[in-house]
Amino acid sequence: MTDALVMLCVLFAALGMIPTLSSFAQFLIIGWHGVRNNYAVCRDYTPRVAFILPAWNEAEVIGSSIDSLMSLSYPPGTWRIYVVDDASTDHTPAVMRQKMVQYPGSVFHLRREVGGQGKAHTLNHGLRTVLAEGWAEAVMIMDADVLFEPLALRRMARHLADPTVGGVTAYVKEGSQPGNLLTRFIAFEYITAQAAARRAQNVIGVLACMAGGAQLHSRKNLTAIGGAIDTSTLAEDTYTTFKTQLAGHRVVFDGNAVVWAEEPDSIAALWKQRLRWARGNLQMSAAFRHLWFRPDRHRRLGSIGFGILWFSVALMPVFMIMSAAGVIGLFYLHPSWAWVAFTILWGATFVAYLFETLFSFAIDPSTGQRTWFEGLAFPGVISLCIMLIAVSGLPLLSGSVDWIQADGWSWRDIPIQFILAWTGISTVAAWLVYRLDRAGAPKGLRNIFLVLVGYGPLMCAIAFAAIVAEFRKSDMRWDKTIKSGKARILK
Amino acid sequence: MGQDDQVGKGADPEMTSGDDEYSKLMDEDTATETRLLWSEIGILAFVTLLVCCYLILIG
Repeated sequence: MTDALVMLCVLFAALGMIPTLSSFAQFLIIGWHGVRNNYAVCRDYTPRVAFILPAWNEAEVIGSSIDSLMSLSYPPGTWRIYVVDDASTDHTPAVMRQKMVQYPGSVFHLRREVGGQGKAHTLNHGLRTVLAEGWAEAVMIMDADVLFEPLALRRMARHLADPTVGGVTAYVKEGSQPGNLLTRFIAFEYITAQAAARRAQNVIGVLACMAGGAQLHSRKNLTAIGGAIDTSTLAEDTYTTFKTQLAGHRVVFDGNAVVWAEEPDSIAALWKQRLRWARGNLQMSAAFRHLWFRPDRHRRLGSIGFGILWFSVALMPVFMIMSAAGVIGLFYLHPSWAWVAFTILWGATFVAYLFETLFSFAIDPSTGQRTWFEGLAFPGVISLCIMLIAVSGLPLLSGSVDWIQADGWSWRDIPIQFILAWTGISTVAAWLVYRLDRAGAPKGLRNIFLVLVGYGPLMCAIAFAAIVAEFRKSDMRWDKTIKSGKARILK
Repeated sequence: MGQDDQVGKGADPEMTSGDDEYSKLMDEDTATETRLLWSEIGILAFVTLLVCCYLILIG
């Protein structure tokens, strides 16, 4: 019986390594993008593009977004902007009237008199109009606050020259000015989650998500997926990405096509936004349950590798908690194995952290320069200390590697078990940081705790909250992220 | 409709011809991807060296 329990604990501890290993594997193949990318089949292709901007009370940002779009470096007369106003109650209509006068024949205001159904419904209103007109050869689905670098559209459109490509997405960078600790954490996160991960996904030929902030679709692709965005989940961009690939079209990430967006500047606002994303991912997991780990159903989306990548993100807190439970279980059942499991788990995490952080700085040096501290502190100072304890053979605690002793109980067990279980505890600690922020704690205090606990564990806590919300079948409200027009194109 | 009234507004002042600009764009982007490949090799070699030194030291 004990042996079976020990093996179960070893299994749990090993499963806890899946997110680290899958992320590391993903980073390992990024470099291959220098050899295997879509540029070989690109050509100078500039289709007529309709931009669809869903807008609800976006008066603060919509004007600068339109100005940024109108200064694109793209053949004149080949792009139009359709702002789908989701029954805004602020002065969005007034801003739109002014912009239509400023850019006659290029900017269009599509007003929904009854709104509030969410982004997907708003986008569909625009899509119906654009597809019915027949003018556009490609459609850019984007967010109202996103600012395009002048060459971003040109870079994206070149991929559509290849008829097998149905959709292209860009690298969305965080551009809040002035930024704060949280927005810099997000900026660094976007290097890893977009510039890095999506290049790797290009290499393996399957993309998990085309960023909702900049999705360029060929008309043919939109028609193939039914001419509308799915409204049944909170992850309309991911759903569209899957549908595109299931329709037999490829999706491509262009890391050199850069757009800028304003991201939440408080943990409470970030929690709301990411909870929606994480719940959307879980809904996607259920909606496409027939695909996972089934290469016979779809060679790429159903591949084992992609399934592991997907679930190591969607179910990250489960892996973290299992890992903590496994190591703590070993502490009581087989202490010397607990030491081995702990060292392997955190040693591997340290190597992955070192490689991924340094490489992320190299992938996007300008953002890396701006976010070096947040990049280093990404896992949290406590996690970093635990990594050092693991690789240093634990002299910090007792001067001996034999410090794990479950015989009898002593006060020393408390810090030891805290360290062993930190992968699970950090999720709870991150939730407490969120509660602190929501309770209106001073930003300085919040920042100290965020740096201690880490941004990574915060994402894990949000993923856990999403799992709970999905189990409880909580209301699927579309909680819009409030934007204040702070985004700038940073050079 | 369209941007016929806006001719030239969106054009990059440095744009000489579409072909030139496109070639420049492709060269830049291909060079970036190649740089990433070499960066990865360099960083991977550095981390591997650190791990080897560590294993030798504790061995």
